[in-house]
Amino acid sequence: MGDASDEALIAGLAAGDSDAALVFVRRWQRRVFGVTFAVLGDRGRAEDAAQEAFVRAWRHAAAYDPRRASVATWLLTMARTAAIDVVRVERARPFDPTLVVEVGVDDSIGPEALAGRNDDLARVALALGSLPEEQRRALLLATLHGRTANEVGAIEGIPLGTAKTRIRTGLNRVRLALDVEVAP
Amino acid sequence: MAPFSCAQLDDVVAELALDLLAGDERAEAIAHVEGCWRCRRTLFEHSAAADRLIQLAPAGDPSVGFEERVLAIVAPAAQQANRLPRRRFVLIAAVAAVVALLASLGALVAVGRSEKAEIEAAMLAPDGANVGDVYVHEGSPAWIVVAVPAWAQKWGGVPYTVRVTGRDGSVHDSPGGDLAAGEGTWGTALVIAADQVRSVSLLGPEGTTWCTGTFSA
Repeated sequence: MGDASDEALIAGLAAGDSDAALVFVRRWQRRVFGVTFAVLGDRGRAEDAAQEAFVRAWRHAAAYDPRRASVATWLLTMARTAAIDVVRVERARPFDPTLVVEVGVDDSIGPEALAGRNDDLARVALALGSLPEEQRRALLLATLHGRTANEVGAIEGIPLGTAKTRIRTGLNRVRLALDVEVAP
Repeated sequence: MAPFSCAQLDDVVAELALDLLAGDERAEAIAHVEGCWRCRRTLFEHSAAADRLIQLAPAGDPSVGFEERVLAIVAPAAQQANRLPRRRFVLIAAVAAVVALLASLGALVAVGRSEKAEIEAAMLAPDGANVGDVYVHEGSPAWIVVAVPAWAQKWGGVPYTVRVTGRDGSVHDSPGGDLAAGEGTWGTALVIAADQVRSVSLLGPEGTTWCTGTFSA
């Protein structure tokens, strides 16, 4: 069972199989928690959001369409959304601007692991690494920390327009690095 | 109020893709995208980039007990729904492993009914070649596993449809998972009872039949 594909596990999850749920949670909990922790920066709230992400995955498993998104995209986007929902309830919370400096690339997809790879994640990681520091920070604050352009501006001490430009330019460069056509 | 333009969308597309817009600006941007093919495409491309950026987040270990807390919500509720017996999922990996082993030995899995409330049939290509097996597991709902391990590379990444045809002639299509990711196996729940399944086919993107497993009455 531990070797079952993610897609098969989701099918089992949708069918109400508790063994599938166990394997699925064990396989993905570190990455789901990693995303919610990146957004929230607090273990307790990150665990709550990660738990919510798994519950949402379970509720929506029957509607999962592997043609539209990989399991990683589907689940981790759900995790980010669950964490951002928490952020939106707590808009005024303080933020440690040094946190973002350390966030970016998982060890498993760091420079050494990227050598010789040419998949989407490798291209995205390389594109991110090639961005000017201020663009990279703005993009990571918006992406992994769920911060709005207004908040990025306040954190970085820059005008709103500049924050928007940095986010937009950074994401556009990552998009161009992907160089894939995405069907609507 | 002037209509939202493509240039305005370009200004906010990154924030829209990152789900950071709110209020009227979000509503106007979405309304524009719904009616503009060019901007819809732009949004999808930015969303794809954003989705992959999220995957770069470093993994981390939640505290001890996290897994149990999640399963306390998901698994008991699932069991309460009385949908599948616990042993069901164990069969998936076992099926895949057995099929791979038999295939490696050049043996064929016989078509027939087992004692474990599951039925199986050989998956035959249009030229009659045996390319794998399909297993139907009884339960509520019933569940199928298609195992064509030799095709994991051949058809990996290619979208396909799993078509289940009922004995009453009803046709039930569902998207199959990436055969490469599943090493040639794919499982999904059924909307009809196991004993009502007449055949299971895999159809390619053009609707052509890759292979079919047929169950005797």
